[in-house]
Amino acid sequence: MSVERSPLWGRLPPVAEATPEQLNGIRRAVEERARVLAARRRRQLRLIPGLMVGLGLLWWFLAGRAPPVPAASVTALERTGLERPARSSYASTPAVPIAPPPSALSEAPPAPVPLPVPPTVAPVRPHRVAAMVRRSPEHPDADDPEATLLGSALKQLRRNHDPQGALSVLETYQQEFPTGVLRPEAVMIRAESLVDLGRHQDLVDLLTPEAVADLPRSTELSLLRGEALSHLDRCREAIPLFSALLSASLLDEPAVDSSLRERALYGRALCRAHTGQVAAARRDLELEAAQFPEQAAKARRTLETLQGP
Amino acid sequence: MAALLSQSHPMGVVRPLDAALAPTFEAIYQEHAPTVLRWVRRLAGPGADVDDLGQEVFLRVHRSLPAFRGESQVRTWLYRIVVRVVMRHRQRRMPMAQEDDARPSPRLSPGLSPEDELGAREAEAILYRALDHLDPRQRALLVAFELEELTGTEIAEALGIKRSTLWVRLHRARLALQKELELLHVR
Repeated sequence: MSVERSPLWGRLPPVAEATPEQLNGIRRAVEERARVLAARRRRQLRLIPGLMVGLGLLWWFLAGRAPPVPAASVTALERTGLERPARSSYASTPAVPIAPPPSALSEAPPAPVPLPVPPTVAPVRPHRVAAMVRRSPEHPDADDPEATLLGSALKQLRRNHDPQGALSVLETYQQEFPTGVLRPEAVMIRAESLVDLGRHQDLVDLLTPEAVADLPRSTELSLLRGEALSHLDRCREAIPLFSALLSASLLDEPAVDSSLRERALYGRALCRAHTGQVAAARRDLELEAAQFPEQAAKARRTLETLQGP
Repeated sequence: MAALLSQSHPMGVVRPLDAALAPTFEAIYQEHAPTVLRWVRRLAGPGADVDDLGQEVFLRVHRSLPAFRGESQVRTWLYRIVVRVVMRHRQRRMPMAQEDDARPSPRLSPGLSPEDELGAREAEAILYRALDHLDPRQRALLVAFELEELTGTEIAEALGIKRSTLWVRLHRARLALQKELELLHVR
């Protein structure tokens, strides 16, 4: 059953055509409002660097030190289904089957037992990099071309989620400022880009012990190197790094200590398990469960895996 | 030719050279402003400040033009913006509807006789009172189809609905309008 068009539609008066004066008036008003809005947007954009500097300084004065490192990284164990992976650019990395530890060989079936594989690398967080860029005393001016170029790399990385683009900008930076004073910050951005791209080998090449020693946040960068090494199945090189990080002399900043120490413990536990040191791995995980209640469930689940056949 | 009309996007995506082919604000305004103002008037009903709403529409056009990818016709894109602006305006002015409705409508054709003008005013008042009680999408659909005589494809594109469901929606909208008119004792 169709409904007919209401006759009232046909009785409506025609709408008078807009006059040229009316049209011109509207156009002028639109152009003026568009100009005002554009100017306001430009002003707001100009405020952003100032706000960033202000926030960085506020953090600097309130905390007197670096913000904490994010929570522990995703592990290959988690990827095998034992635990849901956390947000990480490494989440898609396939799990690596590892031979069982020597103690389990006699009882284990002939097929390789999927034991823990090295932890993944937790990304360097942008606000930390940004804060460091702004904190540089030699570069208080946000319009400095060197700082601008690094800001552009950071924007590619964080706003456009384009680590490859960030690396391209960093190449330009390298060519234009081979001896720039913001090189440490450039290294941090490069490290974060490489983490996002899952380029473990490049990350290891970048974060050499010599290079890391001269950089701010050397503790975190060493941890990143250790995690990247473990990703590359180079656990024997990674374990000493984790152990060094766990020593009290290196971890002298309480707030940073906590999360870094947890990551280092977990990374070392998995690497130890990976290299057949199951008892030592178990000790690390028990320590982690005891010292970091929020990570206890994860540590216990990993422990149960280690205690399996 | 397609290759000639292409350029490399900064992000590495090859896209048509639509910057050169895309309509400018000036061109859109020149060609469509009278139509847009008429749509505004038709959708908003008597008593609406067409100039203010027209400004709002073209301000949005100005802002959105860089993002207009030409996937739809300019005409349907504009109608979509008009619908949004008018509906938003109506939502905001709802508490003051009585006051606005009391304003005299200044836009009747000078060619009408006094009787015709009175009849047209009455018809308009009744119709828009009924339309006020409809769903905004039904209102937009009816105005587009019954008054502006946009094609089915244009309406579907402008209102973001499937072409296949357009006629069902139109039927329902007409039915809803008929019921509202019956409540006002008008057929």
